[in-house]
Amino acid sequence: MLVVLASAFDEVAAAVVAAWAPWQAALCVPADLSVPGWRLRVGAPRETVAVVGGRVTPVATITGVLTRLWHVQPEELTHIAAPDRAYVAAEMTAFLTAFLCDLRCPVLNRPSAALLSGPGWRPEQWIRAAIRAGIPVRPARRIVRPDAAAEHPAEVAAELTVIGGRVFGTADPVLRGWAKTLAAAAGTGLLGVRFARHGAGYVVAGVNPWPVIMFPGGLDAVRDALLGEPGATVPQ
Amino acid sequence: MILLWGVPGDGPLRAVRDLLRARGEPVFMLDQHAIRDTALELSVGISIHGTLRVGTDAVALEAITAVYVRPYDVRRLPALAALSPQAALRQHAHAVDDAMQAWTEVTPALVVSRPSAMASNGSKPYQAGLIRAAGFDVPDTLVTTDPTAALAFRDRHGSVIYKSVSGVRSIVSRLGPEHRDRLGDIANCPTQLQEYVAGTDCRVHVVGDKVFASEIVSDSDDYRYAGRRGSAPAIRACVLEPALAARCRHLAAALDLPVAGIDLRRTGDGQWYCFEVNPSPGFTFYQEATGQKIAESIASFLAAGR
Repeated sequence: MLVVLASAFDEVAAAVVAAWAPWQAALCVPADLSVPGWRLRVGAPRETVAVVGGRVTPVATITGVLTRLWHVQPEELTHIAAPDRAYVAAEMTAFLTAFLCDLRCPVLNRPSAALLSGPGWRPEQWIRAAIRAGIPVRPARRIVRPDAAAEHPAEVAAELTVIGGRVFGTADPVLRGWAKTLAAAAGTGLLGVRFARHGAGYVVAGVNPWPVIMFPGGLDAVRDALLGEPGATVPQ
Repeated sequence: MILLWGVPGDGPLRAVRDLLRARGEPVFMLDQHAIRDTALELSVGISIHGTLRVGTDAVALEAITAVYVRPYDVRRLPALAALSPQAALRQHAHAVDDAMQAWTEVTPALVVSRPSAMASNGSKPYQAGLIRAAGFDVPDTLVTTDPTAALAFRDRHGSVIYKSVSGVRSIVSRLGPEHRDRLGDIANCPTQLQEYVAGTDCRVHVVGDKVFASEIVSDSDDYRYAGRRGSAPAIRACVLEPALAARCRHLAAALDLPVAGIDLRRTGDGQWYCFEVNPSPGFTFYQEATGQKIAESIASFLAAGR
């Protein structure tokens, strides 16, 4: 079974589940965490039980998880008394952190303590990771003042999407290599990498930790990465 | 220059600041109450530089050699309490907080402690996995929405406690017969149950390679709140055997925490369990009871920088 963890309001997630119906895909939303059946025992990952789409699901039957949720938002928990929603959302987020980190199957993107999908890095951390990997960058700059006008996003010349071991968006082997290297450095199997022009070449200008996947070949690449098929290297 | 980030009334921050000033160490205070007068410019590329301003004071970020990170949750700052989420000052406060967190993640200065390292405490079962991996025993722990599984877990251990899964502070309580009627509520939200381990609590503060241990004697399930029930805990300094002290240092290092508060319990037969690691401990509670020089150790650690 492939599981898509997402907000109940995420239309892309619903479309992904529909497209993956032959692979027994199912949607897991925050309200599923208010259904009896979840079990997580510290140090015993094989005993974990999830509830997906309202059905109790032993973790061994889950072959891959696509996470499209950064935190559980209180607004999703309309079945919980309003004064308790923020606390319950925090508890659910903390639980999902442990649950997703414990999974032995591919997870795109595996969570961190800070976020349910990916490392939760700020732009400056991505820039430093690129520098450490030997990739040229455009410095990240911020000016924070009470009277500062909104900053305009810098121009992006190309955005590549890394999915598992594949790269979409350009045929340029140098950019493809840099994008793969940066995704691997961050341990993310799904990443958008933005490049800006610099003289005759390119520099990394930033990333999109939640890239578009609904394009020809994109959704299939995500599915292959989650199923661990050849050519799809999923960082663990 | 040593940067202190938080509010001046915070006990640990104040204790460290007073010691640094008494020693004549250069200190820059990023007082969150002064959010209206705070500005930050940050550039991160091959070099990391910028300027932090609070009122008429300014410091170059590249001149900072150490940071003590003790910020309050921006949403709870008194200056912002009456403001709407869209208010410009509130948005400015969040922007400062985000920029400071970004800088503390990438600066080569000594940071006590980086936000990414402190985040492990936001999920107790996740952190328990890290504690196990670092070689400590942790009590058997189940997080569940299944009342039947909860009852089976209690029956297996005889006595269990429940506490929050997240970093939201909760009072640790024993699951008793009076909870039977409310057990069905577990279905609404994953609930953390833990085997009750009888024994003596020990809070260990690790500061770099220094270890300060305090033994706590209390008949309460959560000694932090024992005073409310009229029986304040007895806290006294104690000395850990060298191998255990080394494990505590190793655990703090494994979590990338230069300063940590480690909650241990020693059973009657001498077995040690670790419950959790506080990444930004309020050490003054223990220092006042024991006379241990924890603030002095942190001040020295910051002054040494990196």
